[in-house]
Amino acid sequence: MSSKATDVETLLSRKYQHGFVTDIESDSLPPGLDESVVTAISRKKNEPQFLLDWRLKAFRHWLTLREPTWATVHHPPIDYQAISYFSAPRPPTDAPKSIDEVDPKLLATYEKLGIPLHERARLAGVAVDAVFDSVSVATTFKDKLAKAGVIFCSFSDAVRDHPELIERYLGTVVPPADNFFAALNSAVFSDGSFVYVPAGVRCPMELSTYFRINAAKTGQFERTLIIAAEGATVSYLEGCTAPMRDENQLHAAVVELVALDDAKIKYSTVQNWYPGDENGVGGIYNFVTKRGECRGRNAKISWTQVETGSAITWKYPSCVLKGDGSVGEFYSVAVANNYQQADTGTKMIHIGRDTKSTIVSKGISAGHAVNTYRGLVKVLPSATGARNFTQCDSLLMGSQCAAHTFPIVEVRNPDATVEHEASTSKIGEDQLFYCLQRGVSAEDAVNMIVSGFCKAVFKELPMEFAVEAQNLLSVSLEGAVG
Amino acid sequence: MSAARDKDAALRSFEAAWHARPGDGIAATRAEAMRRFLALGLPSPRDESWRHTNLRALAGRPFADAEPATPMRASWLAGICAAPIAIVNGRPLPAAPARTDDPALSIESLRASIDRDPASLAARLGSIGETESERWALLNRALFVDGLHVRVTGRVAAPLLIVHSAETARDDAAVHSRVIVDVAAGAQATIVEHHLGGDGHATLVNHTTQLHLAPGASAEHYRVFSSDAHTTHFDALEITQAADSRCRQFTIALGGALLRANLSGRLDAAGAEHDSYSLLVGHGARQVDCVNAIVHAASRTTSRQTARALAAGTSRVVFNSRVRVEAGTAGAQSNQSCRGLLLSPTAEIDTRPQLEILADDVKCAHGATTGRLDPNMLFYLLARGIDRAAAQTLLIYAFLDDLLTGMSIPGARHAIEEALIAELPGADLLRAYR
Repeated sequence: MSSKATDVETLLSRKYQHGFVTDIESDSLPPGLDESVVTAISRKKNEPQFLLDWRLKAFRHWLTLREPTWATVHHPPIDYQAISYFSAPRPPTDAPKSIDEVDPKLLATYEKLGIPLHERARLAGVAVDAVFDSVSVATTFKDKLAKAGVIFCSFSDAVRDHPELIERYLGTVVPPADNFFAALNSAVFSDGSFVYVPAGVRCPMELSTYFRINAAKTGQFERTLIIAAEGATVSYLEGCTAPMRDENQLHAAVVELVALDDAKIKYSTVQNWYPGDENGVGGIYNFVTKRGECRGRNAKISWTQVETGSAITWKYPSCVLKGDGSVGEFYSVAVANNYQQADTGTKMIHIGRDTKSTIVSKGISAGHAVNTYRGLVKVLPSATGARNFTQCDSLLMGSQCAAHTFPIVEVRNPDATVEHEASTSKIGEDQLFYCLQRGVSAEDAVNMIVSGFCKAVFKELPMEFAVEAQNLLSVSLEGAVG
Repeated sequence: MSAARDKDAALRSFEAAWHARPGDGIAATRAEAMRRFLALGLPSPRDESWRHTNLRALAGRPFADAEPATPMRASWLAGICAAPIAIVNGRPLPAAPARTDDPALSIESLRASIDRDPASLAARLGSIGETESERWALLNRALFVDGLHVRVTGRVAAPLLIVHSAETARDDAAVHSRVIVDVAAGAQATIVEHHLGGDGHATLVNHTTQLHLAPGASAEHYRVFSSDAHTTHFDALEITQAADSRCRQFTIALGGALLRANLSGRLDAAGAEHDSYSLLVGHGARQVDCVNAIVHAASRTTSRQTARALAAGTSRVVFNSRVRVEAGTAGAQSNQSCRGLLLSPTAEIDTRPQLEILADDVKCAHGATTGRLDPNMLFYLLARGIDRAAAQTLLIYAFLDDLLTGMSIPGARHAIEEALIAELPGADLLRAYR
């Protein structure tokens, strides 16, 4: 055990690969938050009056709320007045008209991350709406998408070009008063992505956004809104890495999905923000509200997430299954190492008849980390024939880590079937022994066992992400066998 | 009472009852418990562990201590024990219960125990079940009027039946009673507690049982609730287990308007084993809220929890079970299984099987299902010429009875089955099949 422990130490000491800061002048607001800051953000972005009113209403409600304490995460109190709420990379001339005009330093950042934006985007056939800090600076493949009638743009552009869609859908899935962080986001959100897929259209490519937090002390408050009209299909990929930094950064995003009759939305996330160092110093605080609403008949929303980063993750991608026959899915792998804390799970609210939901959650804890699954499956009296299957498994590596499972199942319809199963155990000694005995190194053996453990989730990821996720997992856990 | 409803009436009536009590040898520990209880107040749905049970209506009602009374009815479990002990409105009858037929069993009233050795009894009271979420146990420590102290020093073959009855003629009566059972090293006993009464009045019963198993001891504990349909019952059961002790616990919920049955178990030393079985029957407008919390505080400990929940009418059944494995332990094993059956569109079943694991060398699992009767089983019976109503009745009964197969006292099992059948649709049919 002791010799193994030393190995663990050396292997775990592997540094975060994407830790670098690009030196770009930021056009930031001074730290602090009051109505004038909210107004200033709105003015900077030339927003219509309805949006400013909406922000101010959210801000006033936020003032009445207290930060939630029910999650099993611990962190020093956050000083919301010490955060700068707006930071935009300063354009060299004006807004770039094409990818060639984008700040070369910015592009270099992507290079270091291993995402040569234009090359890779073209090769992979992926349109990338890259969010660098808070303002979108490059959007590709707009033409191809425009031909199909798909709107894929930054949130600011959407506010400018499609205010009627924003006014109609914004805040209808996650109302500004939903929770503390959603209210904060609604008041100060800087930018994000907007997708509208018109009726009957299958989006011709996977849509992807790379997030990257860059300027010091700026919380990122992204707002994503995806609408799939009747019969539309869209797959959206969200992936993120952030540079190394000692100060905790707050990230409170809101993602809203709306699926109308027969629409399908697949939302995949690979989250690899800076998790803090091996002593738990630094790292991103990730407090996200993600929710999708199946408004129409036979609509489908599928969440897939691979969470390996962030010092604290507080995230519950949920589905409200309103339409009859609608389907909700949640596939998650959450890895917590060192002093990371992950409190994640999902909510499935069955309202329509014959609604179906599936939850597969795999949690892995190593080092001193705490990994919590928290979920709610609720079947309302109207949801005749509702069906849910939940499986949440936890894998423990090391005697100092913790894994918790807190599901709630509420059933109010006698014709519903709800099944929940969960297990918690350490990595199997016999499996490890089997591999070692056949000459596989301990590290490879652990990787193999862990990817086997996570396979049910990885197979749900789009191809582009599957490889990356697998690599991320092995980096995050390297040597964590104890 | 004034026209405006006082939302803290219950709390203030408990405080008044506390001030009216004559002091006894354990006044200091009672005062400490009361202070904590008053500081916490009554639980609200904002307390995570009470999110499915709303006490607002109860909080607005003042309560007064139930007077001493004589038992009006016999327990339907009386057949299993030659000399059952009666506790009426929290007081043993006769006041000094004695049981001489078994030298390994000694029983005295808690009042006598307090008078004889207040210091050691006071030390025995501060307990694991008195958490913030289970604050009724705190109130019980402050206000319990009397109860039993049972000591088991050897192998006791015959089961001991304790019949708790609430005999009141008022709607505002509150009964606070307590039972302490200490099973010595290597000793063995079976304790059955049967709660009944209520007499159609909205009585509040707040009972606590503390069971301690010394090294190598083994115990089987039953608590059976069959109070009247107006009774509110808060029951806290605390079980502490030393090395290599074994405990089997059955909770059978068949009565009352609101029953909150809490079980706090703590496995303190290696080799301790705990099995709990909960049969929760929601009938009419009943609310059953069963909360189990098992802590594995030592290496090589095992716990298994099995629950069957049935909800009919407008009832609501909650099964909330939490297993915690403490840091620094190795080889803990735990299993939770809860199956729920909903029989009516106005009933509700809520399950919360929770795992809190702070060590890596563990094997823990839970499974929970809620749904209707298995269509394949139904088809099997229909295909054999049994009509649908009968087939459903049989399957419902089988679903619940499965839990009782582990009972080691056949008399108790038979009596509980009889009582269970009376709660089910198609009772006559089931009796005919038996």
